[in-house]
Amino acid sequence: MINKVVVTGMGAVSPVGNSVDEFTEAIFGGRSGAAAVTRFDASHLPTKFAAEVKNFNSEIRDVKVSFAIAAVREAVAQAFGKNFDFKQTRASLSIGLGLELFDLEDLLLFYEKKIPEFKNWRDRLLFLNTPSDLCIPLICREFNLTHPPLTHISACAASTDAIGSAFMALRSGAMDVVVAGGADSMINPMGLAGFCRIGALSTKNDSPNTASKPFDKSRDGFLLGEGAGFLVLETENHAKKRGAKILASISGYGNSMDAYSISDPHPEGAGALAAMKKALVSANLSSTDISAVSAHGTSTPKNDPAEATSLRNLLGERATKIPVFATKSMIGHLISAGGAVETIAAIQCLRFQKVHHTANLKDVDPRCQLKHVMERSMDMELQHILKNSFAFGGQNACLVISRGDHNVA
Amino acid sequence: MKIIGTGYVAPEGLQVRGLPTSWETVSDPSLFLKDLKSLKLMSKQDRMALIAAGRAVADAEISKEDLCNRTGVYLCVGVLPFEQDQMDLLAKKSSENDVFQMKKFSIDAFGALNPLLTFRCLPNMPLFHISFNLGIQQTYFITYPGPGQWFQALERARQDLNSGLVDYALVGAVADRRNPLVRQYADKFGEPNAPDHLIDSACVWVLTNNESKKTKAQIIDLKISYEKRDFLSSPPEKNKMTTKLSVNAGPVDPSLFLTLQMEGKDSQKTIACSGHFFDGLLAEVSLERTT
Repeated sequence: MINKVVVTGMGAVSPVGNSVDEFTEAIFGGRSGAAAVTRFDASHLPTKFAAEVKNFNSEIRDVKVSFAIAAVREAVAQAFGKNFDFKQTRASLSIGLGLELFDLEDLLLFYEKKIPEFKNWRDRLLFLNTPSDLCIPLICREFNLTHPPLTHISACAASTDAIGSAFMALRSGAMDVVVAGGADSMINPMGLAGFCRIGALSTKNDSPNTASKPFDKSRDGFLLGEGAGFLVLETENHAKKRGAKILASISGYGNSMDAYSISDPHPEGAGALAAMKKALVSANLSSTDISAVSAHGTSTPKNDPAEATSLRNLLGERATKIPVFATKSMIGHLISAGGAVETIAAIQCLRFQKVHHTANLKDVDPRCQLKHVMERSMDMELQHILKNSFAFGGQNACLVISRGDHNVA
Repeated sequence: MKIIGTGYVAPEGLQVRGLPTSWETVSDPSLFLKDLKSLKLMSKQDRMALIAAGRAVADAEISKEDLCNRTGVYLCVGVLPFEQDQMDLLAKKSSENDVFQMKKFSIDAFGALNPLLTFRCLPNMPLFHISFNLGIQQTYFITYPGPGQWFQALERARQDLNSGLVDYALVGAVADRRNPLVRQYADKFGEPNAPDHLIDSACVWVLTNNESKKTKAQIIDLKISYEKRDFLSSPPEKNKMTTKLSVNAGPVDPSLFLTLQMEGKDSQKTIACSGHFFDGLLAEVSLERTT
C-alpha cells in the first residue's frame, strides 16, 4: 500500500520569528535574524555574532528542548486544535536533534569535584550535560504519543531525515500521524568556539545582517542559527476523514553518504546528487517535474559550489531556468533543525505560489551559477520543490515537497 | 533477515557472564584505514565503530561493489564523550580562582584546544569513518543514545531490506563509556553496573535477506513498543534487560550480548534479548542460530 503523505500543521521557532506566521512574513520580507551574540560574552571569539531566537523564555537551560516543545505545540494546534491528545491515534514523534549542551561552568565544578548538593532530581538531571533527547518524553507525555519515538542525529541533515523517516512510516501505512521535525542550538560557548576553531563561520563581525550570503563571491562561512521546526504529517486518508486542511504534501525522500571527506563535500556533489535522485525516484518524479529548489546553501566556500555543481548535473539545461533559493541567508544555519525550518519555508512558498529570495546574494560566484532568486521574492507557479540538506561527514538528505493537491502516481 | 557477519571490539576476555580480564579496549583501526593520516581525525568512538564494521564486513565477505551500491548503515551511538586531555585543558585555561571566565576561555582555551576536536566530538562521525573507509555510499540511519535505539536501528534495517532499498545492512552500536562525562551521565540515570563496570565497545552485524552460506543466525522476531515517561519530575526507572552482560556497554549491550551468545559453545538454538529501558522503549529480539 502506498499512502499519500500530507502536511496539516506546522510550528516554528526561529531567529526571525517564534511562529510560522512571523517566520513567513520575515522570509518573504528578506529580514535577517543575525546580530551580536547576547546569550554570553562572545566579544573575544573570532565570530561575535549569530542568529539567536529572540523574545523567548526557556524554562530549561538547554534552549533547544524548549524550542522543540513550543514548535510542536504550534504545529499540533494548527492540525488538531489546542491541547489535542493523540491517545486514540496511531501517532508518533520523529525528531532530529543536535549535540548535548555541555555547560562550562558546571564542567569546572565537576572537574574540581565541587558538584553542588542537588535540591531535586530536575537539578541533577540538568547538571553539566542536559540530555538532548529530554524533549522527547516531554512532548510524548504532553500529547499522549504512545508509539516509539525515533531520534536522528545526522547533524545538519537530522531533521530532514526525521521528516523522511516519518514520510516512510506514513507511506507504508505503519502510522496514521507523525509529528516530525527537529530542534537545535549551538549558540553556546563550546558550540560557537568549536565552529570558529575549524574556520566554518563567517567573521564579518561589522555586518552580521549581510554576513550569510550563500552562492555569493564574497561569502566567507556560515552564520550560526538556532531554533526548531515541526510538521504534523498524516496519511491523506486520515486527514480527509477528519476534514483537515491540507497545507502541502511530502512526495519523496532519499539519503546517501559521500564517503569522501570529513569536512568537505565531494567537489562534484556526487553524494548530494545521489540523494536528490533517490528522492525523485521515491516521488515517482523526474528532475523535469521540479519547479524550484530550496538549497542547503550554507554560504561556505566549498559547500556552495559543490551543491551548485550537483544541481547543474541534476537539472541539465533547466539549471538556468529553475529558481534556487537559500533560507539560511536570513536565519543562518540551524544545524539539526535547519532542514525542518527550511521545509516550512518551502511549504509556504508552495502555499503562496512565490519563492523567497536569497538575501545578500549580489555577485554570484562563477562556480555557483544557477537561476538564483535575488533581491526580492518572485511570484511563480509551483508544483514540487526539492529540499536539500547536507551534513558534515557527508550525509545527504533530500525531500520532494509538493502542493497539497498533487496526486501520487 | 539473516546475520551473515559479525564484528565487535570490547575489553579483552569479556564473556557473556563474567568480567573482562582488562578494562581497557584496544582500538587500533589501522587495518581498515584508507589513509593512516585520518587517524588523527578519529575519536575512540569512531575507531571502535570502524573496527567492528570492518570485521563484520570481512566476516560476511561482501564485494566492494555491493558495499558501495547495495549496502546501508544503521548505527546507534552512545552519549557524547569528551576527551580527558582536552577537558583538562579546558578546565585549566578557562578559569581564574576556579571560576569560569569567558574571556580566558575565548583567548587561552580557544587557542590551546585541538581544532580537530570539533570533528571528534560530532556524534555522526562514526558513520562517516565507516562509509569513507569501507566505501559505502547508500542509505543511512543514525540514532542515539541507549539500547532501545539500537533495536530501532535494527527495525529500520529490516524495513529497508524488505522494501528492496538495500541488499545488505550494517547494523551496529558504539559507545565510549569509560569517560568522565559519560560516567556521570550513567551514574545520574542509575544505569545498571554504573559507574564501575562501564566498558568501551562497538558491535556491528551484517544482515541480508539474500541466500548466503555465511548465515550465522536468522532474526525470527523483533518487537518495539513505548511507554511514555515523565523525566523531569522524578528519576526514570532503571533499564531492565532480561538477558544481559555483567558489564555496562550502553547501546552496545544487546548486540554484544547476542554476538557473544552466537559465538559461544552453548547448544541453545534460539537466543533472545529484551529490555525495558529508562527512556520508555520496550524491545525484544529473538535469533535462531544456524546449525
